[in-house]
Amino acid sequence: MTDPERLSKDTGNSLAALLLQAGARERPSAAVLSRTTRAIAITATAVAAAAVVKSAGSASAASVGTTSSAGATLGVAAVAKWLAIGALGGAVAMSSLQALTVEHGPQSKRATPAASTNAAVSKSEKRSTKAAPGVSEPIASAEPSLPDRATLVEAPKARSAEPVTIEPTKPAVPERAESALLAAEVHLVEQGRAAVQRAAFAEAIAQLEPYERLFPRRQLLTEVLFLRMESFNRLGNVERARALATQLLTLGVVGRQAAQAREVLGP
Amino acid sequence: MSKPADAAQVLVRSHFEGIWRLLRRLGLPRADADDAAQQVFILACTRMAAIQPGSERAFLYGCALKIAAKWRALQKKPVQPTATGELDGIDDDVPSLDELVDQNRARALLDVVLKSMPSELRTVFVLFELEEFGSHEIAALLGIPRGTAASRLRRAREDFAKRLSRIESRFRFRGTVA
Repeated sequence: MTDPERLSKDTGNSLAALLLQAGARERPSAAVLSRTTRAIAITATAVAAAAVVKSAGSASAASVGTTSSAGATLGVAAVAKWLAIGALGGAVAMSSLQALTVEHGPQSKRATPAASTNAAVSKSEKRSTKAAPGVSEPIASAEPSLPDRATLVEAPKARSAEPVTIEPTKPAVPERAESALLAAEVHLVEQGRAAVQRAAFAEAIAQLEPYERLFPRRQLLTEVLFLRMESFNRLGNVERARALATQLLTLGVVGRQAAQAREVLGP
Repeated sequence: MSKPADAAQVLVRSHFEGIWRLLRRLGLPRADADDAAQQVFILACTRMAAIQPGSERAFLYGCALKIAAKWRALQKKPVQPTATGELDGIDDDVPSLDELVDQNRARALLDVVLKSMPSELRTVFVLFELEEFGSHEIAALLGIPRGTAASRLRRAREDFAKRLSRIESRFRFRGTVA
């Protein structure tokens, strides 16, 4: 079975080929690529931190009762944890610094011509129905026109002449960094939840232990407290479980979590 | 930087443009495509250990297709495919070729045509024509037999050509296309 020739490869300069070539030439802005790269770095750091804590937690759980090795394991776990916190802090600081550079630096240093063009395009796209005469054309206009073939072929040169407009107040980078941190937070909590589901309660506690320090925003705090409460309760540490249950109810949890917390607290 | 992070960065460098472009051609506005593409790579980063070597591209494009489908489902007014005749109204206000247009307009026109296509045909068409997937790769990605993928591709190309020719004929009628 042979695939047909692609329309975009049509050398006859058909309209279909020109449109598809224009579609294939579209590129994301340099800024979004850079943001994604930073987000990946932060996420990878958090994932690595979670893995280190997990392995340390497993080692710690396995060495319960072995006094001599427990101290050493605890030391390794603590060092690994602080290294992870340091790495994450560094990544966040780098991200914030770069965000500040991008958002508040001089315009000439903020964007390449391609990025500027994309920013202009993005802005014009948002105001597609309000574009004033003389303003650059909206990219996603509801009324597209037939493209000029000569312009299509010479597009890269033509694009560089487009007006450069930047939105100085757009807080895009911190938002992306936040979403990456949230993803990392979710990942850590999922690791803890998986450990609880495997009935590896000591491991779950060890995995979730650095949560507050790694993630100051604590967007999944109730989930973490709930998993800890479950784990301590199942390990027989009723006192800690009750303290966590009280904390959960103080935070105003509802549904299954509240019911479970009340059950732990007892009559 | 750790090895998984390095691998994730390699994926970003190799596939970010393609993923982003796929999301755009599947209908996401620029800003949403930015977010969705980032989401794809963060997901890949957190699942790096589970991705089989050699199947990274399929993983990324599979994620992108799911995210695009979810995005479409969340729209208040879901886009319905139109009959080709309904495209007639689109070009009523289209300026002539004398009013110079650029790549952005070409893409806008492309997106209008793609948007009017049934989504199953559109997906196959974009993967084949723009992202240069082979029909066997499309079949694997969508989990359909290769014959079905090839048949869907043939229908998609016919559908696209039919929709485009209606627009083009309007321009010819107006004397704006040689």
